[in-house]
Amino acid sequence: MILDRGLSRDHTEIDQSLGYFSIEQYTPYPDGTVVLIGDAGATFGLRKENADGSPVMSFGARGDGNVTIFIQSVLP
Amino acid sequence: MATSLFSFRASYLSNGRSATLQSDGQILFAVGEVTRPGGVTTNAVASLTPDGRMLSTNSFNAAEGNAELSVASASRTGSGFVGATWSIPPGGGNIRSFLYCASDDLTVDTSCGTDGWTEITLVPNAQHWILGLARRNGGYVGLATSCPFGGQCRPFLFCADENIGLDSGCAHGGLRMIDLGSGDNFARALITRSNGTYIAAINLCPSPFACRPAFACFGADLSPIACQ
Repeated sequence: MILDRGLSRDHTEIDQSLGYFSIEQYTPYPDGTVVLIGDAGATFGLRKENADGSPVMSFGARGDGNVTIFIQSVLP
Repeated sequence: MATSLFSFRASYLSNGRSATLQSDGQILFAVGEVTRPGGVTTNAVASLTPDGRMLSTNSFNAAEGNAELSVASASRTGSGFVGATWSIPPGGGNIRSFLYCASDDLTVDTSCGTDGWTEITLVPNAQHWILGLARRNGGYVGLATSCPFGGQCRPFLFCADENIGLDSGCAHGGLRMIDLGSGDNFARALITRSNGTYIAAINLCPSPFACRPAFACFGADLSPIACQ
C-alpha cells in the first residue's frame, strides 16, 4: 500500500451517498487512482476513486465506481 | 423462494481488509474473511479485473478449525500475491500469524514458504498479530504486534524474502522492535511512501481506555527516520 494522500491537514471525505462503506485499506493504481477496500455490510466492498476523491464510474459493472463481492466459504 | 435465498446468502458475512494489484497490473486481488453459518471464520480471497469485474473467489485456512482472517496483502514477483493472516484457535487461544503465497487462481501456492505458509514467530513466548505488509527490494516488510504472556504488547517490523522465508539480513537479525512508550502499543497499518520509506501507524495505549494514534517512520533499511 502506497500512501501520499491524507497525510496533510486536508483530507478527502468519501461520498457516502454511494452507500455504507467502512474503509480498511486502499491500494494505488499506476495512473494515480486508488481502490479502497472495506466493509460494505455483509460483503466485501471495493470502490475506485480518482486522486481528488471522486468515484471512477467505470469501475465495476454498476456504473457507480463500487463493487460488492459476496463470498461463500468453500470449506466444509 | 426469494426470501429463503436471501436469508441463506445473508447468513454468510464477509469483510474486505486489503487489496493489491498483481505485479503486471492485470488482476486486482482482495482479501479478508468470510464467516459461515455457525460462526466459523475463514480466509476469503477474490480476484477481479483491474476495472472491477469479478473473476473468482476462494477460501482456505492455515490451521483447520481455527478462525482465520486475511488482514494484509502485497504483490509477488510474477503472478499471484502474498497475504497475511491471523489464526485464532477455537475459544480464543493464542493468536498466531502467517504469511502465505497465493497463485492467480486463488489457491495457496505450496512452492512458497513451507507448503505455502510461513508462521511469524520472531518474539519468543508471545502472540503475534500481523497487520501490515509491504513490498521491499527482494521481498517484503511486515508490521506486527507481539504480546508476551503477562508482558507489554509492542509492535515490530520484520523482513521476508521473495519466498516468504523470514530474512535475518535486514535491520537487527530481521527484526526491528518499535518502542514508542509505556503501556501496550498496537500496530495498525504499514504504508509505503513513494520514496521507498515506510510509515507505521500505531496505537499507543498507556492504559486500556486511553489510546492515541501515532506514526513512526523508517527508511528502506528499516532504520528509524523522521516523519517528514
